[in-house]
Amino acid sequence: MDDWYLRRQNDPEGKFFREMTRESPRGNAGDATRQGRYVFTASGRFLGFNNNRGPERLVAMLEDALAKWEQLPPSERKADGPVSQPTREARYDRRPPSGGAVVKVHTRVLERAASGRLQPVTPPARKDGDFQHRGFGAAVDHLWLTADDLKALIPPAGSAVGKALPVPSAIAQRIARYHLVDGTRGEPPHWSKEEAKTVTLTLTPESASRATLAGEFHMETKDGSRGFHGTLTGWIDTKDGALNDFTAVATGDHWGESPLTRGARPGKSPIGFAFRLCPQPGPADSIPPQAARWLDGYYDPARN
Amino acid sequence: MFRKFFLLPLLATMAMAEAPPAAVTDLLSVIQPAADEASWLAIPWETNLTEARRKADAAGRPIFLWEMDGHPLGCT
Repeated sequence: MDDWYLRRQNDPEGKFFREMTRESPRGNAGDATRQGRYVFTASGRFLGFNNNRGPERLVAMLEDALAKWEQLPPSERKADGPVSQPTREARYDRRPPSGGAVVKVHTRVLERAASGRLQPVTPPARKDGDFQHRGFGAAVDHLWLTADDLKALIPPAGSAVGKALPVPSAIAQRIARYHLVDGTRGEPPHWSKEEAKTVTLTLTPESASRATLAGEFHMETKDGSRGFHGTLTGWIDTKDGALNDFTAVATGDHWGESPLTRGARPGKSPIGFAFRLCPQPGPADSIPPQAARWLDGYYDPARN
Repeated sequence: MFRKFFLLPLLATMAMAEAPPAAVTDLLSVIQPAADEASWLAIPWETNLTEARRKADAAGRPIFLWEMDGHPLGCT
């Protein structure tokens, strides 16, 4: 779960969570983070907590929590009554846009092989004191496109083949400012209007069902300490006027870090972003974009 | 001198327009999680707390909650 939402929800679900954590080390967190790993019963009885990445400590917590579970009388393992979904506080309720699309976004720091091909970074030995950066895995986020976005994005029937069309600004800016960010070492800051220096994204119909995406992006903080400069290429496919595929990659150089993303490689280095449509989003695909905490500003970056 | 200034945008334009789908596919395989990185996603994680409680209650099991600033299945 995303603690940003759950700890704020002033509804039965949020209250259940905060009440459950009362006996945990996060019990006095107030409005601050309650992140960690918890074990508890359906009735909300707290059994264990851990916020350490060490697998041995996590396993020890799980074993301890299970031992406590085993000692509980059956009646205390159960919820007090039927568990039914309460109405969630509307301003914290996020669902993929009805009639829209979910695009999975992966991000990974890269390096160039001798051949020039981009490849994943080989993590250094853990005890190499000269190489402290981290975040070599693939980070994930989701790009949400509304039904109106799709109407605006998909070239109308009869569009001239080979003629580049600008992608609507709200979509291009959403991709640039909220998704071309380095999330490989934690929650990244998004690019402000002023930091988005070049955002160019076009769609060129290649056939009745395919249009290619091409873009160039340059985002940089005012002091130049953090940025990204690169290009995007890909395509969308349509079928019967509906989006059937959205595939794109963006690559370029990134640099810098932020308070929650310490440990960047020094200087400018390659990074890659992969965009793939989720044809039938399951629960794991339906997690809201990190930038959607202010939903209106996410859909309309000009307001943010 | 002028040719240097003109070549840069020209090269950038060519790179955008001429990248074939095979290059995109290759980059996708580089950027997206490899199978050994994604094994934890084989777990059928429940993303709704109340639904997790309902299922745990019915199954007679405790609940393991992974709570982060930023969803563990999203950007965290």
